[in-house]
Amino acid sequence: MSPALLPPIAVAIPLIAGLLIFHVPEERHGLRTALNLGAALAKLALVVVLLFGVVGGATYEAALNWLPGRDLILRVDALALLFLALSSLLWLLTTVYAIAYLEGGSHRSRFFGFFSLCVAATAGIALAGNLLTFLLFYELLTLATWPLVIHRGTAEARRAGAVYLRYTLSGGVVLLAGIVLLESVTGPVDFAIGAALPAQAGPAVVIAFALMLAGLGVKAALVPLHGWLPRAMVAPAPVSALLHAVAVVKAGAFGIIRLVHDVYGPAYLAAFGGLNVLMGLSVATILWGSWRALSQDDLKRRLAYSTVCQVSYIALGMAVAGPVAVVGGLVHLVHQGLMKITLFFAAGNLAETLEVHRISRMDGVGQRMPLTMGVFTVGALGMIGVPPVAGFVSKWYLGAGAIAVEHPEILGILVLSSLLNAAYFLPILHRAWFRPPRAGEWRDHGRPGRLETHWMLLLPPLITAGTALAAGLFAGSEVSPLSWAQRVAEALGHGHD
Amino acid sequence: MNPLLPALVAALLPLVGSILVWLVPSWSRALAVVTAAGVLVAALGVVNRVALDGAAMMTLGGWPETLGIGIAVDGVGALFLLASAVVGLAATAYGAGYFPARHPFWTLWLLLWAALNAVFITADAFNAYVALELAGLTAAVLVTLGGERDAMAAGLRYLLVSLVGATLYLAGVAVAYTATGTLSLNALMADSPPMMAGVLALGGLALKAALFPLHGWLPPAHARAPGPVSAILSALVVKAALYLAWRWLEVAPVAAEAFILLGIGAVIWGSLQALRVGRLKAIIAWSTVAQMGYLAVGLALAVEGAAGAAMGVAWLALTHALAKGAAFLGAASVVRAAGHDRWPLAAAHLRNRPVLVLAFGLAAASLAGLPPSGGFVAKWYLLDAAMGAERWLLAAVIAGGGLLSAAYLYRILHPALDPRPGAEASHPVPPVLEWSALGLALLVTAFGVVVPWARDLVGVAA
Repeated sequence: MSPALLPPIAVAIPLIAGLLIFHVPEERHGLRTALNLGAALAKLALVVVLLFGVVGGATYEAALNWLPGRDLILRVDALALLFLALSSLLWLLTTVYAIAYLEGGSHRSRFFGFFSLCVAATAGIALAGNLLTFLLFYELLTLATWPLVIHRGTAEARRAGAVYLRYTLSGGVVLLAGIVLLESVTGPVDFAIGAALPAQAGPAVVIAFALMLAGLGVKAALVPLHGWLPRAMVAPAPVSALLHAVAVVKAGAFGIIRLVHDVYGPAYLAAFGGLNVLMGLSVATILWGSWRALSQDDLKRRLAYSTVCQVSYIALGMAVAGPVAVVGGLVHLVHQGLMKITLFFAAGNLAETLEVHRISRMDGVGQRMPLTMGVFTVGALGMIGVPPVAGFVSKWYLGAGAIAVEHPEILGILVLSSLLNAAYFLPILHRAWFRPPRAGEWRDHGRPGRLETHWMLLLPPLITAGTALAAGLFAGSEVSPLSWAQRVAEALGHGHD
Repeated sequence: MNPLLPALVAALLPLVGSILVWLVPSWSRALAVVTAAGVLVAALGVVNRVALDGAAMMTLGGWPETLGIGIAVDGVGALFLLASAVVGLAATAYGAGYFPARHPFWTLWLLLWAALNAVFITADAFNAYVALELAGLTAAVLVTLGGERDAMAAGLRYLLVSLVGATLYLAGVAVAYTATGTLSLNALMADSPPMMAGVLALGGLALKAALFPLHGWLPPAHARAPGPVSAILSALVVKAALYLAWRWLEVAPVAAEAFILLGIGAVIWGSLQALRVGRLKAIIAWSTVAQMGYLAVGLALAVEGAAGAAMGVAWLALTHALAKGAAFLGAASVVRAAGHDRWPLAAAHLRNRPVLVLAFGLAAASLAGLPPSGGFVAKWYLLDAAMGAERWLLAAVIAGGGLLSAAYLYRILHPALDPRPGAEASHPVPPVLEWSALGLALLVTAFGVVVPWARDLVGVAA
């Protein structure tokens, strides 16, 4: 098989799986599960092949001539693999989780069909080799996630879906305008080469940056474009995992990485103040997200505001620039995904097993569901930045990188934000572990004498929490996300400056 | 082989078909389907020949070119012909499941189709008038086929508007002929006839193309017409006037700025009305008013020479025809199931009809200019053209207009995904009705990916 076919296959696996799943009759549970898991495993295997190939120096690229002088390009580079590997692994785990979570629910074929389409769009975003291809899959992701957000069909879910569409479609249009504007100056932009920018940044180039940043900022939930994310938490837990860890906000953050490094280049952006704008936005987002999280009683809502804050670390790493901070931002793409998906899985378990949605009802819940709250604790401590969980590594690199390029105030921001993270996570842990349960707070759907809940709801968060721990403990090893992020940063450095 | 031969076949075949159907009404459905298949083959032949050999023209019957019955095809004409053939085939298939054999629809529709295809291949202004008049008359009768009071009123209004529009157009042609002594559109372009000629002709065409603020007749006519007729009207009939307007804008480019202003007005007003009205077919009809606005803006950009605009507007015309055809065929199926199209009440009938929901979804994506769809490609080209020409306001309209479209299309899709069961009993819908809508929708999606052949085609026209 020609190696050029591998990137399209990575997109095609979930795409075809999704199209097939739509046609599976509702009651054919086994067939649907086989398709789901088969596709997820196949994609993961492909990612492993690609990883080995890229380490061995191979390149994979496929191009389709689409418009005059504008190809659709799918290309595997180190950065693409970082995102692709994350989303493939988490897709598999989320699928296992979702099968158990939606057991007995309605419209499951529709759900898993769109779920697979989302993953296909995410793979396309990761592998996009130029702005046009990126835009195409970015918009597809919007369209494929909407039916998932409104999956429950309640009035609240449909309102959240409307808000989601309003934000993301507007973001898509703004991104489109920015891309066309930039390319009217520079010609088509290939990520491997970067934009052919004029030596002096004219107004068109600057405005195009602002437009693209705004368009990407919607999905990355940068303040003030984050309003859709907390509302979207009405979706079922696997969808929250998808929005917060696997696909949507990650697509925005990933786009910002591409924009900074593979379109403009940090030095060029710094020259006209673009990096400062990004830094201001990400700092504001980090602080505002943490601040708002403090006052949420709904557990998923608090987690959503936490995402607003945490995803901005990625943008912050890009804005601080410098080799060390960039590694911190890149590795947080993976670390945040692992930790946040753990938290949402755990929140889903509480909701599914005990009908606990509010933090004020979580007293003593650790006694009833020790494993669930155990993984929740790992995720929460990681978010705060407690070693040895992965989040610590991200923050360490961000802080050290900020010092290295003489931005000591960023260190202050990191400390402040960690304090705020602690302030909204530790009370949850305290309630769950140290307060006695109150009678009548829960409606227990569990089966006595068995596991605390369905094993397929337990296994995925155990794996993600374990991975988050391992990513922190063994950050120095060759196979850690950190090593890969360093490889990516090196590759990015070569492309520019 | 000359591309003009299949072009003539595409125009004459429906004419022959309509006579045969009139003679042997009991076979009408089979005859119409065979005719439609033949037209599609002919249209593909035209596309193929133009792509390979370039544009061509000739005159029939030995008349001099300035007077004669000239026919011509170029890349743009070939794309319009293709749109006509594809939507025509889908509408015919739909009609076969919708109308009985002995129904006036068959003769009228095939006659209308012949007139439309004649417009797309004509090279002279007077023949265009004849074809346009024939299309207007048959279309007006088709609107009234349902026989309800509202449909009669809408059809009559449509007929009057058609006559006025055609008369204005004819007056423009007469002025141009008096001044220049030629009827050939190509020759007129070189001779630049008096401004009055362009104003009259374009005014008449704008009326027939329902360009804001001359659109008042369109929503009732398109919303009240029976099932597949709405699709034909919205997808194709207005496009005939649009196609001629393109030719005449090249004759009288001074009118381009007016088309831009009116086009912007159409985008805004049509979208706002589509957000407001309470019937499914009315939403889709108002969407046509808005989309004609985009097309007008695109035409003006193309005539003013903005790079890529010709491709954008030709692609928009083609994809709008397909998407709008899909939407109206889908709406007709909803009417079949529900017995009415009050919205969102009738949306309950879309539940458990995934084929229709998918058809609406894909058509909506194209109309809103979202990938992967032909509409996105068109939007990309137009936006690129507007920005390249530094027309920032137009760029904002083209980019932001997609959001307005998304807003009213959301009104269609959103209730369709509401899981609560509807209260009304649902009538069965034959599969051919659902699938002909989906076929068009799938095609418009494919036209978002498979583009390169068309770019060369429109390059031929430039």
